[in-house]
Order: sequence, then C-alpha cells, then structure tokens
Amino acid sequence: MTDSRRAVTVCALVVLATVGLSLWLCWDGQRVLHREATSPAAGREVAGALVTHIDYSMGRIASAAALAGAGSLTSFLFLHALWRRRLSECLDRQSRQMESELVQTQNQLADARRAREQAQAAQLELEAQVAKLTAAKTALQEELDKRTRTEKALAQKRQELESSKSVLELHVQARTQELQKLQRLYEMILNAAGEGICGFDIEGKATFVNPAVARATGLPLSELIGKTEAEIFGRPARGNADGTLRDGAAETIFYRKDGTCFPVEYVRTAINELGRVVGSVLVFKDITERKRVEETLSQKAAELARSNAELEQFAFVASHDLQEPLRKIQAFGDRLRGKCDGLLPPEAQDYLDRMHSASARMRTLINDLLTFSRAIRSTEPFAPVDLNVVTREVLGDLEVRIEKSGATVEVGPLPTIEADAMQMRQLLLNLIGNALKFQPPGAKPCVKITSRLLTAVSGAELCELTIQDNGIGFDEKYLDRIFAVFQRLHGRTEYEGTGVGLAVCRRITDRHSGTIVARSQPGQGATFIVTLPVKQNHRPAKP
Amino acid sequence: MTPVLTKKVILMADDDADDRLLAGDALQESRAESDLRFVENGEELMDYLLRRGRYLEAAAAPRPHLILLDLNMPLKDGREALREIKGHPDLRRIPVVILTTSNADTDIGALYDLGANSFITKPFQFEALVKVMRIIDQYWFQSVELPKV
Repeated sequence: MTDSRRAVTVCALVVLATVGLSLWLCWDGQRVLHREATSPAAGREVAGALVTHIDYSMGRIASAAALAGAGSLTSFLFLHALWRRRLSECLDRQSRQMESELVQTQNQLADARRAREQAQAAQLELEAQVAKLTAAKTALQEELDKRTRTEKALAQKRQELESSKSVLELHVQARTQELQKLQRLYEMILNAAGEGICGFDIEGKATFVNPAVARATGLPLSELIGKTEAEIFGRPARGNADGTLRDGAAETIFYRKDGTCFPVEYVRTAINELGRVVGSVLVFKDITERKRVEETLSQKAAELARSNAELEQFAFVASHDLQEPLRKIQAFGDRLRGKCDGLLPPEAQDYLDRMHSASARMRTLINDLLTFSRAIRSTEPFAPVDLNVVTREVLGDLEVRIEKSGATVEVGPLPTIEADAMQMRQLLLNLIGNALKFQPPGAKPCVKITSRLLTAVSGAELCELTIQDNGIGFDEKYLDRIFAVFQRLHGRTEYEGTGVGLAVCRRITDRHSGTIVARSQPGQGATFIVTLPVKQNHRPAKP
Repeated sequence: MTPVLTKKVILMADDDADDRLLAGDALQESRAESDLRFVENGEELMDYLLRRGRYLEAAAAPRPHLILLDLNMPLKDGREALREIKGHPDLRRIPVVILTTSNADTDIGALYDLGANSFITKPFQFEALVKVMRIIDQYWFQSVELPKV
C-alpha cells in the first residue's frame, strides 16, 4: 500500500511540476512578448520572429506537458492495475484460506456430532444391558427362593406320608375285617331273602342258589348247582332260544319239580367283568298272592264301577220317572183346591196346602238330583269357553236378585278355557248364587270374581277362579260336607236350597279334571277357589 | 173374520189316563171351544188318521186340526208317529204339538227336524196346563191361518 501511495504521490508531483513549469514558461513568455510588443523600440521583425519562436516553444511545451501528463496517467493506470491485481490476489488467497478453514471447521463439527450420537447409543445399550442383567438376577433369586420353599414342603410331605402310611395300614386291616364281615352278611342276606336268587356262569349253569330257590321249585339245594335255567324253572314262554329268560325285569311263569306252575316277577342281569359277559344273576319273587289280590281288586273295581254306574242310572231314571207321578199329585191337588174352594174345612185346606208345598219341594229336589246326575253324564265335547261371557250371562240371570239385595259384583278379567260351556255356566251360577244367598239378613252382598293363570308341576296351564263373598261363611270343619250331595249347614227356613249346588260344582270340576276348594271362617265370608285346566287333553268319555 | 161354525178337532195321543183327564179338564177351564179326542198310543193315532180298524167310519174319526203328541207311548212312540205323519203327503199339513213330561234329555232339535210344529213341556200346576190349552187355542185356531181341511 505504502509503495503504491508513494508512486501515486511521485506521479502527482511530476505532473504538478510539469504543469507548473509549463504555466510559468507560458506566463513569462507572454509577459516578455507583451512588453516587447508594446515597446515602440523594437522592431517589427524582431517581434514577428519572437512571436514565431514563442509559438514554437509553446507548442513544444504543450507537447511535453501532454506527454508528461499522458506518461503520468499511463504510469498511474499501470500502477493502479498492478496494485489492484495484487490486492485481488491477496483477497482471493485470504478467502480461499478462510473457505478451507470453514470446511475444516464444519467437518470437525459433524465429526463431533456423530461422536456424540455414538456415545448416546452406547449409553442406552449399556443401560439395557444393565436392566437385563438386573432382571435375570431377580429371577434367579426368586427361583432360588422357590426351590428352597419346595424343598421345605417336600420334606414336610414326606413326613406326613410316612405318618399316614401307618394309619393306612391300620385302615386296610380294619377294611379287610369289615369286608369279611360284609361277605358273611351278604351270604346271610342271600340265604334269608324271600326272593329266589341264583347266579349262572357263562355256560348257563347255576353256580350259586339261595334256599328260596329250593323252596320255590321243590328241588334240593344240592341238586340245583350245575343245572341250567330251563332245567330249574322250565322253559319260559317268551325267552331266548336256549331256554333262558331275557335280561331285564318282567313277569313270567315258573314250573316246579312236580309240574305245577306259579307266576313270578323277575330281574335278570348280565354280569360283566372287564367288559366281557361272564354270567348272569336271576332274582325272582313268587307273586301268586299279589296276582290273586290284583284280580280280586280289579273285580271289585269293576263291580264298583258297575254299581256306581247303576246308581247313577238309578238316580237319573228315578228322578226322571218320579217327576211323572209328582206332576199328577200337584195337578190333582190344584184341581182339588180349585174345585172345592170354600167347601173344605180350614183344616183340610191346610193339609192340602202342606201337601202342595211338600210336592213343590220334592220337585225342586228331583230337579236338583237330575242336574246332579246330569253333571257327570254330560257328553258335551269341550270347546273354548270365554269365562267373561259366561259370567256376564250368569249375572244377567241373577240380575233381579242382585238388584233386590243391593249387591255389588266385581268381575276381574277372566280367561278363555276349554270346557263345557253349559257346565261352566252352572258352576258360576251356583257359586255366585251361593255368595248372594248366604248373607246375614239385610246385608249388602259383595262378590269378587277374579282369576289368574298358573302352571302345574306337570307343565299344564291352569286357570284359578276365585269367588269371594262377604257373607256368613262357615266353619272349615264342614268342608267335606258342603261338597256332598244333599248336605246342608242351615235349616231350610234360614236359607232355601236342597244341598246339591256345591255337589254339582264338584262334579263339574271333576269332569273337567279340575278341583274346587273353599276357605272360610264363620262370619268372615267365604272364598271358593276353582282350578281348571286351560286345555283339556282328552275328550270326555261317554258314560 | 168368518165365524167358526164347527168346533176345531184336537187329537191328543197320550197313554196316561190322568193326563188325558187333566187335559180335558184344562181345556174346559180354558173355555176354548174345541172338540178334544183321545188316542192312547202311536198305533191308534195312525189308525185314526188313516181311518183304519175301529176308525173306518169317517164320522168316528173327523180329521183333526191339531195333534197333541206325547213322546213315550207303548206300541208306537211319539217320534215314530211324528215321522209317519210328516212323511205322509196328506197328513203332513196337520200341525203337531209335542206335549211331553221332561225336556231335559230330549233332543228337541231332532223333533223339529222331524217336522214338529211346537214343543211344550207338561206343566206341573194345573193352572199352567189351563194356560197352555188357552194359548194353543188362541194361537192355532184364532191367530194362525190353517189350510182348509
């Protein structure tokens, strides 16, 4: 820099000196000229030569000055260019140096970062390794603990086993004794059993028999062993081809030694050992007595059914045919009263009235008896019956009585069931009629009819009808009596009726495979509960 | 209405003498002007209607305007007689009123199927029987127009 500045300064001084000298020469020449020119002494020639000389000098000076200026300028420009190049080279060098330094620094930085990352990864790996090692150590510790515990338990078990072994041995001893006792007991039982018991081997030969077999067949025990079933009992009617009975339980006929026979009930069972039939056991019982009793019983039952049917028939025919003469008694009684009105003495008139009321009552009895015997004779098929409709109709029939007594009748929703519609009507008429009838004098009857559906143990759907009243009620010790025909708890003058209504109800529920029960206490009202199947699973049998 | 000149003939078939007596009395009490005649069983009823046996004479058996028929009778019961009457081309026009004891075990529908015109249960009270007679007279002889005999 100093060099260049010095060069510039020299140049500038040279230029300034040149210019200054030139200017001074110029100014001096001109002044001389002007003095000469203005002085009159000087001739014109001299002046002219002078001026030519001056102009020539001036031209030379101007050229020199121009050359000097140009040279200075050129040297300045050259120097400037030179300086510039050197400066730029210097700058380039410096910048290259700096760039290389920068790259170096960057590389160093990247290296440092990589190194740091590697260090971190190495640390993580190290940590994981440490954790794994710790876990392994814990597991090992646990395993060790467990083993220690197991060993302890094993030792304890061994001790226990040793102590129980001796107990077991005692048990085995006791059991063996028990078994021997049991075997003796079983033998005793077999020998004492009333049933004949015999065992057969695979070939069908008797291997053991009890005394009952000997008693039943008439063969001595010693002869029975080794005999086949057919040899002991005779060939059964429905047996196997080899004359043995089929396995299972049934009844058959056995033959005695003397050829007579007796009915038996038997159970024959195959004996299996390891899934192979090795023989069979036959247990039988003489059922002669039972057969006889059964026969007698069935005879008696048939007789009873017949006499029952006859009684039914009798009740029906009697009540039916009794109507005829009764009607005559009433009609002729009426005639007598009509024809002899006023002619008879008052006493005779009274007798006539009593006869009349007695025959009227007999008519009611006969009618009720007919209703009763019809209740079971009915052959009407069962059909769906809406009990709501039936109850409505019954309440319509009882309308006058309900209004007269000021009764309230509440009817809950009722179901539709399979039944005899006429009999359902009769049933409800009797029960609601009773609820209205058996009331203290002047009381306002309150009757509630409700229902609910139940499921029987057999799974059958049942309908439970409840008819509850607030009437006089009754003592439950008379429960059996109220459902029997012609049974009454009150005198005729207290409450009219023949004692047939509830008997009819019971017959109707019987016919529908249902039940009727009552709950009551004197003065507390009565509740009648009728249970009927919702669906009838059979058609009613013809009587 | 033209006055009835001859009495209406009612023929009652009933084996029960008491019932015949009572019916006669009741008719009398009812003051119905009818000629009530009796036969005692189904056979006799058919003899009367067909003019056989003791009823050969037309005068002995004037054609009835109405038959009162009991069901349970000997020889030929009411059902058989009814079937015959209603199966006969000439006799079928005669109204037949069943008058019998009990209605409980009787298939009333079957009787109507056979052509019975009414079914009445014999009443217990005499008064009621009188009423039945009166109603029969009022209905069959005074209200209903019967075919000319």
